[in-house]
Amino acid sequence: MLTKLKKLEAAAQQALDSCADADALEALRVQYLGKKGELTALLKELQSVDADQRPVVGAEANRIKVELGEAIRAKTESMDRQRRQQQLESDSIEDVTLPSGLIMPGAIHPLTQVTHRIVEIFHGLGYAVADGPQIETDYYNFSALNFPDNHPARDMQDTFFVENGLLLRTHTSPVQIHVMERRRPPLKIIVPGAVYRHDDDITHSPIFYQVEGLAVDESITMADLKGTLRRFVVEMFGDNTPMRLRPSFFPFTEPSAEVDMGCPNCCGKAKAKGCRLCGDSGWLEILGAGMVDPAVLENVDYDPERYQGFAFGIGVERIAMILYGIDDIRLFYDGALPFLEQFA
Amino acid sequence: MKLSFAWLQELVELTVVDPEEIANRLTMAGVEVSGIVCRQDMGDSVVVASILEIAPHPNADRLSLCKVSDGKQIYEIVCGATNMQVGDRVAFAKIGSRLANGIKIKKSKIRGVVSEGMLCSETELAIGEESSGIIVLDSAAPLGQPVRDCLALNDTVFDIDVTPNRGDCLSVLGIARELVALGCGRPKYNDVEARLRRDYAKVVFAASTTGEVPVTVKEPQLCPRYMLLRFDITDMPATPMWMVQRLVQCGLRPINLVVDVTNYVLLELGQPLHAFDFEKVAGGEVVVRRGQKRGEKITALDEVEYVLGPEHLLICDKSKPLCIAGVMGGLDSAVQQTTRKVLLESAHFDPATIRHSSRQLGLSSESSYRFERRVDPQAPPLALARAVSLLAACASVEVVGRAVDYHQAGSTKPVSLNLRLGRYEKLIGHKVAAATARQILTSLGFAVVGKHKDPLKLEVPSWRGDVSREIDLIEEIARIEGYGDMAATLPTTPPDDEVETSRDRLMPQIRSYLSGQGFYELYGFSFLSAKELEMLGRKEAMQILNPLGQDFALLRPSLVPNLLKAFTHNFNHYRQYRAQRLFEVGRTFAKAATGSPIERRCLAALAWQANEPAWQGAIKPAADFFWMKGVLTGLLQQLTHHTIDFVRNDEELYPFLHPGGGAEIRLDGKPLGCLGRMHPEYLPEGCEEPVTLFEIDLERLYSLRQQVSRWRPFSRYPVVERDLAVVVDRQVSATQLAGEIRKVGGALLGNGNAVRLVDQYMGKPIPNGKKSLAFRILYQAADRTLRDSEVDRLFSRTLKQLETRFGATLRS
Ligand SMILES: [Zn+2]
Repeated sequence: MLTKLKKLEAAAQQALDSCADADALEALRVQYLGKKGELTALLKELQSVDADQRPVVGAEANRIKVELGEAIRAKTESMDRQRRQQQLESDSIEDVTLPSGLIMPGAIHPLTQVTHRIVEIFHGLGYAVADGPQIETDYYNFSALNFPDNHPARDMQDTFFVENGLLLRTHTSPVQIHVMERRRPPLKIIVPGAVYRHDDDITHSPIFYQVEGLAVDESITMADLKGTLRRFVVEMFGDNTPMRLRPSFFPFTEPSAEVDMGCPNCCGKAKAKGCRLCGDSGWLEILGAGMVDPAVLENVDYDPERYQGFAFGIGVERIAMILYGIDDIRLFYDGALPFLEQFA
Repeated sequence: MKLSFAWLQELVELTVVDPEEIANRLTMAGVEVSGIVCRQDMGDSVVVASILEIAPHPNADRLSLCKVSDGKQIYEIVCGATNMQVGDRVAFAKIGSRLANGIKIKKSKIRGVVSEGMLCSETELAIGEESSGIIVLDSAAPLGQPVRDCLALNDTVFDIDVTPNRGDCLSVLGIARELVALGCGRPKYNDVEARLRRDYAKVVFAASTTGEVPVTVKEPQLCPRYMLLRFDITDMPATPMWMVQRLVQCGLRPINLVVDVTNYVLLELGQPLHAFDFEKVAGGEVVVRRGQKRGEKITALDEVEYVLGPEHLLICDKSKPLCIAGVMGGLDSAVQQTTRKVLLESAHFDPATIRHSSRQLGLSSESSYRFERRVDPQAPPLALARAVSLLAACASVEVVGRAVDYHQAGSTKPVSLNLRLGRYEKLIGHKVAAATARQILTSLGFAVVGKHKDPLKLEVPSWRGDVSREIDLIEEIARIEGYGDMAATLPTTPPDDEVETSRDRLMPQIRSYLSGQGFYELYGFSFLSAKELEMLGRKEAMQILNPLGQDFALLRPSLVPNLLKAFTHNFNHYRQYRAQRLFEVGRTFAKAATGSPIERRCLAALAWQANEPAWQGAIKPAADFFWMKGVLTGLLQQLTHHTIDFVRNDEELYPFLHPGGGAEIRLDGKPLGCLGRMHPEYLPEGCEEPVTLFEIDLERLYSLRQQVSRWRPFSRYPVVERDLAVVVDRQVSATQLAGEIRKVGGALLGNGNAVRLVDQYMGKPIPNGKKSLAFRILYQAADRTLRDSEVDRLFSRTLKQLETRFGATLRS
C-alpha cells in the first residue's frame, strides 16, 4: 500500500510539472483528488490494510493529499499571475506623447476677462451691477447729465444718431440717471457695457466698453473717490503702481479728474526716452472720474445739499491694452483666431 | 492750441522758467500740455545773408546761381527758387550746418556748378509749410546773425488741450493768468492792459465824430456787444517777420498785414476780430441780424457758397450778408493787399448761436472755436486797441471817425457768489483755511466783496463764464491746491442692497461652458448692412442716420452675420486653422411697434471642421448638426429645467440655414432660436464642409425664475431590459415614437434614460419610404422587483399602440 502511494505521488508530481495551463491543472486535480480520483480510490482501500499499519499508511495518504492539493493551488496561482502580467504587458501604451483626440478648450475674450476682473474688484467693495439700454434718448445721454444743448462739451463725444430722434449711448453714464430715478440713496453701483462713438482708427473703435461706477450717500467725499480708485489700481495692476488724479472737465461731475497710472513699460523713468506706451510722460491715462455734479442730482430729484457722491468711467479696452501690451484696438473686434487663442 | 513760450513771457514774468516744469504745473491744474516742441537744435551756421547777384545756371533752365554775402565773405550758391530779388535778406545755410528737417548741408556740385551752401525755405527751417520758394527775411535783419535768433526760433512751443469749459484759456493771456494763479510768476498783462487803454483812448476817442459808420444791432440777445472802427491805411506793407513767425508757430497762415494783426490779437487776447473792406460795404452801414427765411447766400473766405437762414446770425450791409457772425467772413468784403479803407469789428456773440451756425454749416474757424467756448465780454475794446496799436507800429494808419460801441445794458454786470468753507470740507474731505481760499480765488481774478470770512462773498471775473455756482468755486480751490495732497479713504456706505441679486450668473456659465467645448468668444460690432439683413430674412432693422459706411448702416437684429464674417475672415486669412468654433453673447436690436426699441441679449455659436485625416486614436468631432445639437442641449440642460424641443425649419423662418438642415428651438413650446447648417450660398469659396450654428434668445432664459429642482427618490429594484425595433414611415420622428413608448410605460419608464434610440436604418430590406428605428427600453418599478410576465404584457401593449398611432410594424 505504501509502495502504491509512493508510486502515485511520483506520477502526480511528474504530471504536475508537465501541466501547461489552467485546464490541465484542473484535470490533474480531478484525476487524483476528485471524488472518483486515484488518491480517493486508494484511501477507500485503507479499510483492507492491517490495523497496526493503518495509522502510518493513513497519515502518509493524507500527507500526499494535502501536499498535492497545495502544489496544484500554488501552480494555479502562479500561472494566473503570469497570465495577468502578460495581459498588462500587451495592454501597455507605448507612446504616451501621442495627442488626445479631445477638443481643447477655447477661450473667453480678453475684454470679458478684464471686465470680469473689474466687476469683481468692485463687487468686493459692495457695488451692485446695473444695466441699461444702448439705444438712448438725448435726455439720458446728454441733458440729464448736464450737457447743455449746443455746448462744445458735446463735441467730446461724437454721436451715432438713430431713427426716431434716438442715439447710441456714447458712455455708460446714462445708466446713472436710470438707476437714480428708480432708487434713493445710499447706492453703489457698477455698470459694465458697450458704448458707441463716431470714430474709427488705430486708437478708436466705433464701439468700445466701459465700466461706470456711481456711489451716492450723505457724506461720500472726493477723498473717498481717490481711495476707491487707488484700491482699483492696486488690485488691477499691483501694489506699487503709482496713481495720480489731475483736474479735468466732464459736464456731469465737478470737481472732475483724469486718473493716470504709472507707465508699467518704463516704470515712470520717463527721462529714458523712447517709451512708445506713454510717449515718455511716464503716465498713462486710464479713466475719468469726479464728484457727481449738483445739477445731475437735481435732475433726478436728489437734494444736492443732502446727498453727494462720486462717479467714474473705466475704459475696458484701455486697461486690457495696458495689461496685455496690445497696441491696436481693432484687434479686439475682428475675431481673428491667432489673436483670440492667446487668451485661453 | 499751440502756445509760444516767448510770447507768454511778454505777459508774465516767470519765476519758474523750465518749460517742462511749466507744462507739468499747467497739466496738474487741469490745463493739459500734451506736447512741447523746442527749436533750439538748429545751430548758428544758418545765418542772415544778402543777395548780391542772380544769374542763370549755365546747364539748367530751372536753376539759378546766386552770389550772397554774410557781411564777411561772398558765397556762390545754386538755387531752385524764383521768388528772390537782388538785395533780399535770406536764410543761408553754410556748409556743415544741419537743418531742422535733419538734412546736413555738404559741399556739392549741382549740374556741374559747385554750391557753397543752401538758401532755405520755411519747411527747411520747420517754421511753416511753404516750400516752393525761399524765405525772405526782414530787410533790417543784420547780416551774419544766426537766423535762429533773428526769427526767434529758439522759442519753445507748447501744445495745450483746453477742456471745453475753459474758453478763457484759449489765448496767451489766459494761460498767463493761470500761471500767475499757480504761483509761477508775476503778471505783466495789467501794465500792458493799462497802456492799451491809454492808447485806445488816444487813438480811438480823440478822433472827430464825423464819418462814424451807422450800426444797427437787431438781435441784442445774440450780440450783446458790437464795436466797429474805421481806419484808412495808406499802403499795406509786409507783415513783420516776428509776427509772421508767431502766427506760423501757432498754426495760422499769414495773409496780409491787416488780417495778420487780427489773428495775432485773437491768439494773444482770445478775442476774435474781423476786418472788412469798407468799399465793399454797400450803403456804408452795418446791420447785425438773423438770416432771412427765404434764404440768403454768401461765399465765405473758404470760397464755398453757404445758404443762410434765420438760425444764423449775420453781419450785413444795406443789402447783403458780409459775414457769418463769429464764424467766417465773406470772400467779397475780405481785406486784400490793395484794400485802403478798413472796418474793424470787435464783438461779443452768444456762444450757442455761433456753435449752432458752425455745426449746421459744417464750417469752423479759430473765431467760431473761441466764440463757442465763450469769449470775455469785456475784451472787445481792449482787443480793438491792441489791433490799432499793432497796426500803427507797422503801417501808416489813420482812424476815421471814432469807434462805434453798441452794448446791451446790463450785459457786463459781474456775477456774485457765496462760498461756504464747510461745504468745501464736506465735499472734498478736508478743511481749507479761509485765507487759503481767499488767496487762491483772488489770484484767479475773483474779487472778494466785504469782510465776511465764511461764507466768502465773491465777484466772478468777466472771463470766467464757467463759474456760476458754489461748486465751481470749490473746484477752483481744489484744482489750484492740487489733487496730490488729498487723502485717500473709502466710503463708509454699506454694501448696496442689490449687490447679490444683481449678479449675472447666466453669462459666466455660458462662457465657461462653451469655451470648455472648444469655442472662442468674439466681440463684434453692433452694426450690419442691408445685404446682411436680407440674408437673415428680416425686413426691418433700426437705422443709423450717420453710419460709418453702408456696411454699418443698421443695428443688428441677430448675431449671426458677425459670426459668419469672423468665420470667413479666418477661413480666408488663417488657413492653418482646420477647425473653427466661435461664439458671441451680445445685444440685438429691433424696432418696437410702440415705445422704445427692443434690445435683447442673445447667444450665437458657429462650428466648422475641415474634412481631413486625423490620426487613428483621435476622436473626430464632425461639427455637424447633431454635434452642435449636443453642444446646445448640454448648455440648455445646465441653464434650465424647462422643456426644450427641436422642430424642423419647414416654414423657412431662417432662410440663412440650409433648407433641409435647420430646426427651430422651442422652450416650453415657444420659439427660443434656431439651429442648423448655414446655407452653402453664404459660405466662403472653397468651404466644402458644413458650417453649423445656433442662435438663442437669452432674455427668455433670464425671465425664467431661477429655482432649485427638488431631489427625487430613485428606485433600488432591478431593471428589466427590452429591445424594440419597428419599421415606420420616414416622416415619423424618433421623438414621437419614444414619447408614445413612455406614455404606455407610465411610471415604469419614469427615469430620464428609460427609452434610448439605439439605431436608425434605411435601405434594404426596409421598403422605400420607410425606416427602421431600434430602441432599448429599461423598465423599473419604484417599489418592487418586476416580473417578466408583467413586462411582456406592457411590451406587447406598447407595440400595439405604436401600430395604431404610427402604423409601425415589428421588425423581424
Ligand atoms: Zn512709458
